Amino acid sequence: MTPIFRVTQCASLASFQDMGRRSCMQDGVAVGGVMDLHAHAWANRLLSKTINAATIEVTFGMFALEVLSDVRISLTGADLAASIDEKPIMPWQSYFLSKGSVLKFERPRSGVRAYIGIAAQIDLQHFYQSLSAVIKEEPLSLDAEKVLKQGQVISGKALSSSNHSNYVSVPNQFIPDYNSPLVLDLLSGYQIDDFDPTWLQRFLSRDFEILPSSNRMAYLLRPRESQDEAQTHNIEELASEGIAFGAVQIPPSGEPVILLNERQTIGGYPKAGCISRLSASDLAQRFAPSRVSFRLADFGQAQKRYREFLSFFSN
Amino acid sequence: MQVSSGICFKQPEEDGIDYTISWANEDTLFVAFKQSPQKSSLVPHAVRQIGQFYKDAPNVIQIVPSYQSVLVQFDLLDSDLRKIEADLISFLQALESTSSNNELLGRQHIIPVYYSPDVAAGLDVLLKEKNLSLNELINYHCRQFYDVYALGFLPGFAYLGFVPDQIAMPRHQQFKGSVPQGSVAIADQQTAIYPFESPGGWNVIGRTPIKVYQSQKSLLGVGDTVQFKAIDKQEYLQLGGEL
Repeated sequence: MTPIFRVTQCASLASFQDMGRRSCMQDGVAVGGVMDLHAHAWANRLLSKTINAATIEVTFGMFALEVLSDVRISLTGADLAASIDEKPIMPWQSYFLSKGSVLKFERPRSGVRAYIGIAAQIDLQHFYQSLSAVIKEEPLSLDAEKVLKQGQVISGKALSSSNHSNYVSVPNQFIPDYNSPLVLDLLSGYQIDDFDPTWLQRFLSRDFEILPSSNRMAYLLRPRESQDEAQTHNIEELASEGIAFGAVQIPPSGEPVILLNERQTIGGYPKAGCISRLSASDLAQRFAPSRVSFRLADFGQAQKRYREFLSFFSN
Repeated sequence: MQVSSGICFKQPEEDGIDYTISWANEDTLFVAFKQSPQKSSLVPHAVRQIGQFYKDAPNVIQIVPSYQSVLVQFDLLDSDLRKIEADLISFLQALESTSSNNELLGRQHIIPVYYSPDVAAGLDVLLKEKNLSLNELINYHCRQFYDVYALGFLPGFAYLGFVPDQIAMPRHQQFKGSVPQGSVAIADQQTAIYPFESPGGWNVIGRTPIKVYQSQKSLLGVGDTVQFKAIDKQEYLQLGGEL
């Protein structure tokens, strides 16, 4: 194993992530995994790696790596004003970094999470068949080296240079605009019958604002206009049940909570449905006080779209 | 079986257990039983059986059994979704016709507990409120087997049910500081062991020297049964317990 990077600045949050842990929820263990699967998948594709290879997820910037040996990287997702040796670089491309240079991220210009793909096999232990960090479990010291810290050295085995990709940069049509208003696809079948029929109608017609307490565990929303009261309800709490990725939980206050990668494994609040996988990628690039709303999605189409997405990035 | 807008729905059988099957999201199936495990012993039986059915399936990413539901996430690239629905429905139908066969599938655990104010700060208050002696509390807590209904909150944190009314106590409205690793506690009719030191709001009554979560493995799984056994201070310390 060769030292590849040293973390020289880490003032916000940066961690290793892949598609998340497997067979862990039955032990009460959170799944983790990349918040923006779309950007992560392209970071790997730019280096001919499969979708489950780990990338570094950099949230909000204020992060720097010193390069300890020559390596090719890819950069996707948010524009966090990245630079190599102070020379600005753009996301959705791959770059060659030579020993001694510095890769640096400042502050968000568009989106909030950037992904660094690395053309190397990273030296980390698997936990439930995954290299994903779960930030909220850090105090338990189960898996601490996957949340990056200042001074930490990242080692790995470089992949052979013949392993080059068909892509040097991501084609324009696959680069999302993180500043556009976001409409989330809602798959509503599951438990929607618990709600009054007019409830869903009203829910779909309103605008919500992302609250600053949102994180990798959940995104919290509240109605955007102050005169617009939350839609409270009196549905009884259910016996705790497994929570699916993207579940839109409606607590009695009526302010929706979208449960994401570090969600608790079980819970009892009623759910209006789940947002689609790819909507969750779009959501992960927004932050408070961005605006979001929901639209009903066709389940079959969403399933087909997600399957095609996985298939494209797995070959 | 009807399949509409991707939601597959199973009507209840005449005498069987009442359940629905639906897709929660693109790759996650949700089986919900209408009756609670307190009302029907067939429900925990069915939950365990579904867990077994998917246990070694290579296309299953997560399986989350709970009180009266099972959530199963599949690898979409490795799954025929119509076949998954059809197989599950036939499995549940077969299960209903053999549901009288209520054999235990889970493991049985005996958990040693040192019940004492030495390791349970609020124990005296609880005993006073419930008008119990320490021995009475121990007898009530130890006299039965508990079922593991769900895991959550922390790695390895198992929700066990259900304690007798005499020792049932609502959880504290707010978390009361840090609860030590191994604490055995009660909230309403449930009891649990804290796998790690953690903020918590349950009523602590004792502590076990046993580690319930280590090396990527939870000691307790849904469908297992647990009985508590009182030990004295000396045994507790011998087994590696800390004060």
